[in-house]
Amino acid sequence: MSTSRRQSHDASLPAPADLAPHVDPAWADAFVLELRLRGVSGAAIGAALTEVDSHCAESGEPAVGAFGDPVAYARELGLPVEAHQRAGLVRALGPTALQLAGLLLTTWAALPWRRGESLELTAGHLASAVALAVAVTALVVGADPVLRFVVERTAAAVVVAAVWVGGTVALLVLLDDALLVVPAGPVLIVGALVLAAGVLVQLRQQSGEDPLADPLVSPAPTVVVPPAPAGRRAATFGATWMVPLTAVVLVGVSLLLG
Amino acid sequence: MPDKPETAPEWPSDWLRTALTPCVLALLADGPTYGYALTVRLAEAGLGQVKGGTLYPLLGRLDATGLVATTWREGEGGPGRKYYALTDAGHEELARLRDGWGAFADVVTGVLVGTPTDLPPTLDQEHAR
Repeated sequence: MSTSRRQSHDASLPAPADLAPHVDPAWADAFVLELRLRGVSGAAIGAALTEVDSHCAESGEPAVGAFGDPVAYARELGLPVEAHQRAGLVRALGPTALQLAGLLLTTWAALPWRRGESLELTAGHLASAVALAVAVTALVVGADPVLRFVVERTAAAVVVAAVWVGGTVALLVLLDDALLVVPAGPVLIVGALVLAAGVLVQLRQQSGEDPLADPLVSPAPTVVVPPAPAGRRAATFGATWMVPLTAVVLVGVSLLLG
Repeated sequence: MPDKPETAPEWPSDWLRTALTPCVLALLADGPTYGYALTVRLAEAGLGQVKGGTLYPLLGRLDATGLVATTWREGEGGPGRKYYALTDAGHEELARLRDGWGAFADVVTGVLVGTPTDLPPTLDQEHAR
């Protein structure tokens, strides 16, 4: 992964306020968020926002005075929705799904392996794997409504996520009848390989175009977009390494306690 | 031509909604221009303050239906400006609306001001005959 490439990649992700210095940042954020949630392309959003900025700069009016409510204006524009957004989402979620599968396998197998026992696969194991698959599928199929729910009703979304995690753990604990006994060592190795594959695929994707980045682009010739802050790089790092680090910690704890 | 009022009149919003597309097409027939300049010219023409929230979605629909073409150009010191130019299809639509609007306005004025001889007889008048 070349450093210069990453830098140009980060620099192409401007905040709304960079594109529209004459627009109230809160108005611009709400406007861009609504268009993002509707699946409008970054180029079309950038053009619409730059036109608002241009109008505000020349008329001296605040955005809310000239354009009214940002969400209503975003809807009124009727901008075309990107058709290939789902493909990008599958590409983006694929490596994370692999990593999560690796996380499950390694954490299941670590403790029995440490104790020299076999892994007793239970109905709870299968149920938690199914719960994970359902959640990932729901994210891909219902990406827009799910995202809108998380953004607009964050507290409710946190409750749903907590119930989902709690339910998965409860399934694991309650459904403890062994269905299948398998050697723990090979499962641990397979899990680690799946996890590594997920990380590799994600790193490969990042060295190319980020399928979800779809930066805001201003069509105006005079708008110079400054580079995005370093926080973006930290977020990318976190997205790649969060699941593997969690797996290392959980497996480490299992091995120490075992 | 009647004197323009000092302050911009508040036309009923549904009148404006109907008249705005023909008026914008007519102003664009004078040459390519950008959104803010259009609001100024609409106000000068006596249509009142047309808000950006009304004008730009309309321009977007004209663009989507191919009646205008757009280009970005540098503004004077400020951000860029999106210029809208009438296409051939836009000129045709304007000609169609000019003809139609004249006939429509005559009919509406006839009804409102009342020139009964020009109107078809009502049912009551038919019976009275």
